[in-house]
Amino acid sequence: MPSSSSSSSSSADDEGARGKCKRGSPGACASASGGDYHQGPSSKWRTPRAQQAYSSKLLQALRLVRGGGGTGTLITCSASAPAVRDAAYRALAVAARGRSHWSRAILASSRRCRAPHCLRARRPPPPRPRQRQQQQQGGETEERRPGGLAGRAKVLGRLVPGCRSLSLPALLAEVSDYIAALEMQVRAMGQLTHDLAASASASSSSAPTAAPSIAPP
Amino acid sequence: MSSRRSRSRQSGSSRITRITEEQISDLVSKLQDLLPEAHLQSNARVPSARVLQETCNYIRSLHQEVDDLSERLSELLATSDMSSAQAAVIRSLLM
Repeated sequence: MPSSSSSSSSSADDEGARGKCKRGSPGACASASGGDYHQGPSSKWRTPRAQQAYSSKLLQALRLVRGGGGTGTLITCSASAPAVRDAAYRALAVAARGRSHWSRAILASSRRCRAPHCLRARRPPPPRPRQRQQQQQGGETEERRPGGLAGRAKVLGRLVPGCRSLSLPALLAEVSDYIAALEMQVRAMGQLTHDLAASASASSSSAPTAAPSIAPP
Repeated sequence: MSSRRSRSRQSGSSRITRITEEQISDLVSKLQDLLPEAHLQSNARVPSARVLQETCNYIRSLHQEVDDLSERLSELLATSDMSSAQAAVIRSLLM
């Protein structure tokens, strides 16, 4: 396994402030043998360097998705949205360097030449139908889910890939890392979209040398 | 299933660890810090079940955002080429 000196050096300042996560379960310790995983695992996703590294990885993955021929020529083969999404999650898992359960689960499932079905399985339920006005608060734990901490933890474990049968502390640690990674992914993809749109508009305003743009359906 | 409190009484087994409530509440509060403030009314202490529920909601919303961004990216990629995409990334790196 390559050493993770770059990530640890960049987040060294944050780690001292955050302190270390309390790890009780040996199962989680066995998987997180890296020293810098204890110290504020979510802080490593916040650095701009991490985002840039992810952006370049994402671009490489997208190039593979498009069939690898894009040096100046317009490729009309489909870069479908699910393919882009899967490439994004794979790149995210690679960026995690396999030090977390969810990243290993994503890489393992993609190696099976299938989309991460854990993510797909969450699509059919409507994302936000719940009557969660801002005033509704606490007490009601039985909206539609099994009430209690264990039930919600189970739901949470199903949401994060590869974390169905983790103990609660390990699950919560995985979730915090996963959330930080997802936030970085959203930031990076948004930045990439913005840059692409800006460059596309810039190139279309100037003399188009590549090819006429195809209107998306 | 047994609540987490009963786990603390089991000892002698290397697999089952003592997961104390303090540990759990500590982790839950860390999780609460990660959630954006829009999901929680205030920084006051909220019950753990609520934090977990909000975490589930937040993860789902993040998934949804990634899906939407993937759609836009696929549309953009269909109309541009990789060299301009790479140029855009390099430009952002320099800025």
